[in-house]
Amino acid sequence: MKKVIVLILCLLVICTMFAACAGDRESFGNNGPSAADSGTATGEEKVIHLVTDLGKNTEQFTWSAGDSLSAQDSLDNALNSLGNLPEGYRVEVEVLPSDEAEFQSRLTRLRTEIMSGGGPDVFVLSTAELFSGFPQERLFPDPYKAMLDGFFLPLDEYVEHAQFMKLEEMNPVIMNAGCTPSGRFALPMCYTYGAAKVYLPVTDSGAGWNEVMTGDDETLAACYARAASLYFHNIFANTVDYKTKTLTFTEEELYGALAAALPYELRYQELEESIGLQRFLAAGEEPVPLDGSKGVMFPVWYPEPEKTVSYLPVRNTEGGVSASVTSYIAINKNTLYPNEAFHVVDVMMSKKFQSRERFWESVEYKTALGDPAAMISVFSWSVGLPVYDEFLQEDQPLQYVYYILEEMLPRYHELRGKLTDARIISNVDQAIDQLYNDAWRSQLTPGDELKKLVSQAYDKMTLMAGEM
Amino acid sequence: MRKIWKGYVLIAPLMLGCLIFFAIPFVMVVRYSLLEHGGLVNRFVGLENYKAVAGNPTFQMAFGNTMKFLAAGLPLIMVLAYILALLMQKQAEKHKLLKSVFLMPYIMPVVGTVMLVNVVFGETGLWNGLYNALGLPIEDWLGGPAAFWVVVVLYLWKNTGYSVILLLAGLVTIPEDQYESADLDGASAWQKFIYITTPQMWYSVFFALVFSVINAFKCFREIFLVGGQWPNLDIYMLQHFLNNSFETLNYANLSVASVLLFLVVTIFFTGFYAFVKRKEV
Repeated sequence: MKKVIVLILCLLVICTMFAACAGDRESFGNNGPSAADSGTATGEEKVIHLVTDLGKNTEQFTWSAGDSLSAQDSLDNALNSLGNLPEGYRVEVEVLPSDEAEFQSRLTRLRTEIMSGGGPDVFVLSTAELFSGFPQERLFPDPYKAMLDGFFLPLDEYVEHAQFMKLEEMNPVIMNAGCTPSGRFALPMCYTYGAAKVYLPVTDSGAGWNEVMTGDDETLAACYARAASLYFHNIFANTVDYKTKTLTFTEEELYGALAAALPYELRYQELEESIGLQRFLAAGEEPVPLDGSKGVMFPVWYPEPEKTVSYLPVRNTEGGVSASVTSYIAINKNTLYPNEAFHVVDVMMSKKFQSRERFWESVEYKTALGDPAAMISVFSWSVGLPVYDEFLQEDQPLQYVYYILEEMLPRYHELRGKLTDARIISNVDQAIDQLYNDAWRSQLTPGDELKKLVSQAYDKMTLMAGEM
Repeated sequence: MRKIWKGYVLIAPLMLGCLIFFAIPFVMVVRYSLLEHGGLVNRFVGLENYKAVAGNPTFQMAFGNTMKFLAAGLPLIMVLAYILALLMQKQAEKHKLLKSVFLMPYIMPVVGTVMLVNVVFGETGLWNGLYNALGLPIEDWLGGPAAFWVVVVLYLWKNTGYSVILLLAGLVTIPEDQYESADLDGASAWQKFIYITTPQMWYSVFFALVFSVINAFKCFREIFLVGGQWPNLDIYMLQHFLNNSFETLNYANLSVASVLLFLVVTIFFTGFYAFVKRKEV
């Protein structure tokens, strides 16, 4: 009798153990498709799983406009109008949750899925800091490292035979950010770069950051400092040496750059009033409706014939002009359906999709204090311009309404033409921006406090680089 | 034979669980550590990943800090716990509440511990308040080199009680009449400790040491909450390296660091166990 009881107990324990292992998707919360669904079949229908963190943070600060389309609907519309997936395939869009705890949990699950050979088929990911000074965790903290490590499918062959996207019409400097020495692995979708506008005749001499900030031309130095303030990491052409896993700049260089830039930033109001110095990103911010015509204009590019206006980029320490890729698209190397996954990518990189589809709805947002602010759109100028060079012309506006007047287009193109390199923002770049914002918020000037802050941040960045 | 068979049947579920959730994954980790990019590419690269990780200054620092932490913390905790256990040996039965009091730091929630650390060692904490009152310059206890010793003190405060309980369990098994015989022979307290207590305590010491090492690694939770994902360089431990490698999907770092840590801990415990086996009466 005792033996029977013992055996039954053992069997019960074994059964309980295996029953506990079998969790269902609901037990993990609302996490969307699981690893098993990556490029999987539901009956006879195969699912292409697309995951994105774009639009995630708008939920925290906004509510959607009345007739907003979800990301899923937008993509389905685009596929229907441009070219659907082959019979038996459908795409499922997952927007990562905005709740921080759920977001962390989902990120951990995604990373585990990818490590085990699964994961989503398509990644559409953001690197922008929507609200400067609030760094966000990313699925791939350093996308370039992810490309080097082979997480993404090589795209050269697919891009060559693409049906909808036109690589030759995209900005080549920006598109290069998705390439490694082994080829193309990611497609930048949006980008931005810092620039300054000033009501003085200032010449862009091509001098690098250090030369200008230690030179005699205070106006040019002020322009550089203001232009760099939004994405300070762009004063370095690159920040990490991936072979040696070290930073490409020293602590002294970082301190020197901050010590030179911050005093100008602290005087921004005085500079704006005296010489009309403004900083802006790429096309500018807060577009306003044009009087008496259709369309919405970017004030920073409004013609002012009565004034002498200069537009200047910020040059990095090597004398080049660096841009930041704020969103990119890539295909998981583990995908079971690479052709179909690329079809989705092809549609999303098409001119029509990028110019017209409101993939992530324009929403009204409030500031952190709760004051209503301007309309922003995650997929537009405030966090980056689409990569097609011809956009923002009156006959090729963004989202039907945004464009720059024809008479100002040459100046806009001239400024953009100065871009020499671009990279997808990494965690080290974010840390540099965070350092700048912390110093700015604390109103620090060159001295011991700033040195301490720089030292702590530099240690952190050194660790980040070493972990790559 | 039948008794042995019954025993195996009873432990079978646990062994199966250990096999599925520990042994097999460990073998897979070792395999990944020998493949390119930690298993992302199915190409055998031998010890290349090991060379890369071992030569990585960040890993070296993390490993060094962890070994330094163990080298400082383990002897201190064992000595402190042993002294307390010896002092409590005669009192434990009279004052049963003492054992519970010693365990309170151990069971305190991590968040509470971290809050306590910030209250005591924060920039405007009690310790700096005392320094200020004495006219001494205030220190950055959590952000500077002193952070290492703060973490050691935290480890000692939190885990000494647990080691005391384990050692006390060993001490109370030593027959009292041995001490009485020694008293009759005129042995001093030190002689009783060396010739009676110590030889019979080696296994208990080994057991307490194992748990002290486990608790040392668990201390990462407090260090993480105090210092963040990338803390001061002096308290950047191996777990930070592993944790961050997971977040950056660096499988090579993860697998190699895990295997190296396993090897070091295994060699240490094997050596110490061999020593204990020779010493135990």
